[in-house]
Amino acid sequence: MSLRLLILGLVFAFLYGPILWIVVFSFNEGRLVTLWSGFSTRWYGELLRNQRLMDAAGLSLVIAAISATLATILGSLSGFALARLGRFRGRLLFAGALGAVLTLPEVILGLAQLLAFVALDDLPGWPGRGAATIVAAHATLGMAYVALVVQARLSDFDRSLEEAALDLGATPATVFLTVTLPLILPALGGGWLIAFMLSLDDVVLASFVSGPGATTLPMVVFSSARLGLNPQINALATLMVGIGALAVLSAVWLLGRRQELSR
Amino acid sequence: MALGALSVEGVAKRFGAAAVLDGLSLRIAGGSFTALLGASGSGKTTLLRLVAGFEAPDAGRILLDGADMDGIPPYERPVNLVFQSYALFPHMSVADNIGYGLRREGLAAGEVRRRVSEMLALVRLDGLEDRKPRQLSGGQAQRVALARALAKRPKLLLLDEPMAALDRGLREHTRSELKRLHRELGTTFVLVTHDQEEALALADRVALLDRGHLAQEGTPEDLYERPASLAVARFVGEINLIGGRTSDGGTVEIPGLGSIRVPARLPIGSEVFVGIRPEKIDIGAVGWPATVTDVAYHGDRSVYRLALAGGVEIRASRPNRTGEQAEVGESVGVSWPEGAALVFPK
Repeated sequence: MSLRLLILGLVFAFLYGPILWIVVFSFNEGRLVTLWSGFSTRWYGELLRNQRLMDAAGLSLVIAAISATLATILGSLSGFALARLGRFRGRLLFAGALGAVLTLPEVILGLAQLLAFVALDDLPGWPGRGAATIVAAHATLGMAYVALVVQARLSDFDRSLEEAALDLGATPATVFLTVTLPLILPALGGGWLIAFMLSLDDVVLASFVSGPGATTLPMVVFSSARLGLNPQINALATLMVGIGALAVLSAVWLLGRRQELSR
Repeated sequence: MALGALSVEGVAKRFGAAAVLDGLSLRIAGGSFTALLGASGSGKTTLLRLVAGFEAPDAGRILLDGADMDGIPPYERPVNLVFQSYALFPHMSVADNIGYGLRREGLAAGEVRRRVSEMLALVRLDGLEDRKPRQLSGGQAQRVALARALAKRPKLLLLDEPMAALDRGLREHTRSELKRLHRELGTTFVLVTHDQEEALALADRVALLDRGHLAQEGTPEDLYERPASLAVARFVGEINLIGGRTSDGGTVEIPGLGSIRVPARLPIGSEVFVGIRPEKIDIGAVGWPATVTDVAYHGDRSVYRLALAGGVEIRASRPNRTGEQAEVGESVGVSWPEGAALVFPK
């Protein structure tokens, strides 16, 4: 019994120890990130006054929200196609293309997208590399995840519910709005949150496809970590851990609700 | 004539290589309670889905009160279906489920509320309007599904195996409820079932489907007492079948047993089966000599296995009214009224 507790403790220490370290030291009085010198929230205050970090955080949130929304729309359509259209021509290719986004190393994906965006640079009216290209890159990654979630939800969807609605006089569009959509909404919400978090913590794709004007928060953190550790980053990391945990818990709750609903 | 008359004319439906319905024709009178009876794979569920409009026939026509249903989508047909799984919308309350079809008709909120409480009273579920489907028992969920379908005041109500998910005690109650609703509303009820007992007990007309064809349509008594074919006799109820050959129009010669008088007229010398229902057989002192080889006690009745001469074996069912039972090994006489014997070509 005590051995099991010990192993459990070690596993959790291994998983969360470093994160806990950051959280604890974000409240450190001193400048050193390894030596405890008393409790303080001064780094949170400095963080809020750091315009560069705040701008990056704002940009990251905007990019995450827009790309997650695009990913949810495109991913839902893909999920519907895979789950509902039967064995259409090119279905395997389509499913494989979506799966490739999930399995390809992000470095390759980022490089490929960079090359594509460079090629598009000559196009008249093309906005150039920056926030827009990061949104496009993140939406691509996110839609593959959303498609997976939506397809899974639809494959165990009881089709007789939609038939019952048709039978009761609802046109196909009304059936979708009053029956299908409300029942898969938790899956869409969960998918949106996953896409949002993927975008918020991505540094690889953003580094590849961004231009000089757009720097997201993870990019700032990554570059400042190389220049030396700064307690402000600890405070920032603590906030991001908080947001991330909240998003994951919400996603789990949303995706878990379907069991309750489909009973 | 009452509304809700259904006419199925030469309907065929294939799924891939399999012909599920093969030129089926059937008339269902308006206001009747008809059971579509058949084993799984007989095409009864496909016929139901064709009538509801979820599938389109490959050939033939489906007419409701003379109007061709071809090309009319399910949401425009005056037909409603009670699903086997009930298919209640899990995210809506009982009242919203029942009112769903009424709101689609664009009725005012007050009118919807009035009709919903009317339906709740009809299926005796008053007070449950705010429950969610997952908070209902199986029997309650079924009545909500019924109320939801009936709220639309359909000309024709389709019921897909409505008792399948209910336990035994509840079925008896639900049967009488369905009969009551049918009497009160006068709507045509079409019940799809594989359970012959349910079909016989509930419906006033039974259509037996066999591999995509109509085997027989008639009253429950027609199917049980006057089955049109061997397949019908075998599917509906139990029957003893004894092989023989007609010696003249009115008798059948059975090897080792002798001749049996039968009512039907068949060409002389044709191979036939003589069929006798177990409960028509009398066990007593007179008749064909037989030995009791097994007795199965069922409480209200006992089922006897009887060995006759010539290796013929039959089962007889007798009510246990006096407590007197024949015992295994006893020699008895076996007889049946002349009209009880049915004859089918082999």
